[in-house]
Amino acid sequence: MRGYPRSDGRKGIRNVIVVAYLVECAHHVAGKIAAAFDDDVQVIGFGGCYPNDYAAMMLRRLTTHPNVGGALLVSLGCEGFDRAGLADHIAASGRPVATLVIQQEHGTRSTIERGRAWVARAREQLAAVPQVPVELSDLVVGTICGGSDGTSGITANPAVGIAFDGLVAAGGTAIFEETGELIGCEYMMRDRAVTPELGAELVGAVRKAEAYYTTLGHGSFAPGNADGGLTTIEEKSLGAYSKSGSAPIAGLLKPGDRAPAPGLYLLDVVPDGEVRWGFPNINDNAEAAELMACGAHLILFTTGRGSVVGSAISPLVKVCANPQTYRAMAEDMDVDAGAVLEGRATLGQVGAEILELVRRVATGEQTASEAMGHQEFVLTYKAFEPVGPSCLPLTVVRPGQTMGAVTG
Amino acid sequence: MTPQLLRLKEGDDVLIAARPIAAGEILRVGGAEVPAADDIPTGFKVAARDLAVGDIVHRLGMPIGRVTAPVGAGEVVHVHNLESQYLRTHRRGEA
Repeated sequence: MRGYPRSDGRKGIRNVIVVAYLVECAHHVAGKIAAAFDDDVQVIGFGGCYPNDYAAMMLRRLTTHPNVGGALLVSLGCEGFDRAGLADHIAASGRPVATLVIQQEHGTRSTIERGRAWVARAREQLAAVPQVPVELSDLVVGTICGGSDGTSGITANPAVGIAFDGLVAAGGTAIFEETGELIGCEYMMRDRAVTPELGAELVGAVRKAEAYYTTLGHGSFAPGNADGGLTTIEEKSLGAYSKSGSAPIAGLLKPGDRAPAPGLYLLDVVPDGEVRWGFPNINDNAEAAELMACGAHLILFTTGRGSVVGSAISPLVKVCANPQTYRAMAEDMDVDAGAVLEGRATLGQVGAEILELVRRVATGEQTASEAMGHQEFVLTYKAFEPVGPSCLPLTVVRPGQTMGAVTG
Repeated sequence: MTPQLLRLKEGDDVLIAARPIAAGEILRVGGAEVPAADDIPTGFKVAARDLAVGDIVHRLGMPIGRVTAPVGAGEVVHVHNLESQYLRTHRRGEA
């Protein structure tokens, strides 16, 4: 595998330029700037007009993600986002960055024109970046399930768990998430924690999710999950949990935290404090954004019902749990894990296939969603407190990397 | 060859349809042979034994909910006869 070296010691497996809108009012202009280029120029952003610490942190992490080589910020001008602070943060990472304020650039057309000119120059600059070897130990891989059904927990999710075990054994970092979809699995997770204190934090994170969803009135369970044969949140959780494999759980992250050492981590995605701003994650891409903010280079996305989404920044590998869904939507899928149900493959074989695909995608091979231009992205209002001292007991530092979870 | 029903773990109260099963097809459940009352899609659950109201149902050894209506061996176990011990399952068309 080969990748792009970054100033913080991490290595990217893609070298994209992000065009980031800092309020919905700048979204169209950002999109028009990016539309003039190939798929390596991607749109991300935050739609809110009023500032939010979480969203500001997320855009700092995402614009300096290892897969990102440079960033163009597009501001309307009157929104609350701290555009100068974000630009300074990106510049300090050594990446090319520019800010265009539409109200100062005389409107839509001239901003688009200037933005395209900047991106064209930045792309030439990035093309000159030399590539370096990448090992599995350099990679952070996240996992999400989307559109789960009764087969997810039997085929795709445990196969991802096997791939995660292989990744962790090779010294890599694996992150599973969605504490609201681990309700019922809290004590099994506790028993896998590397310290009893971390175990208590894992149970606490699931309790928080349960309380949050109870206030909202229902769990992280879509009507389509029931159409697919799943009956309760704990049954869905049981299937989701199997994505984590069998490695010890090394820590509990919150969005934007970087794992301090290799291993398997749980990402707590449910906001802290009183219930504000609605549903914790409004859809799968909100979870993908949080995994990317924790440094995920690519994401293993399992689906039973058949999701088609991709993502900006990090490739999504689609692992299809249901053999009938695979046959119906093969062009959107990367792995046919439903083969296990039909006796065409074993779980171990599918797990090995997923890990091999991780290597190939990290080498540059496009996933199905990448090849079709999927670059979905969503970022909403949320609030988090920093993780407690028991959450990240390991402090082994990989060569060239900063110590501890990055905060601030 | 695709098996009909999967027992994920010894002692589980439900079996999982590994392929679509047509109504009337004979299900082999706990030594007995029961015709499927309805079509059963892949991934759906049937009772591995008779279940009574209040029973806790286990899948892969883990509790997945509480029985709310009697279920005969071989009958489908789903939202009409099983509820969460944690959070209510929201259905399409409900507020």
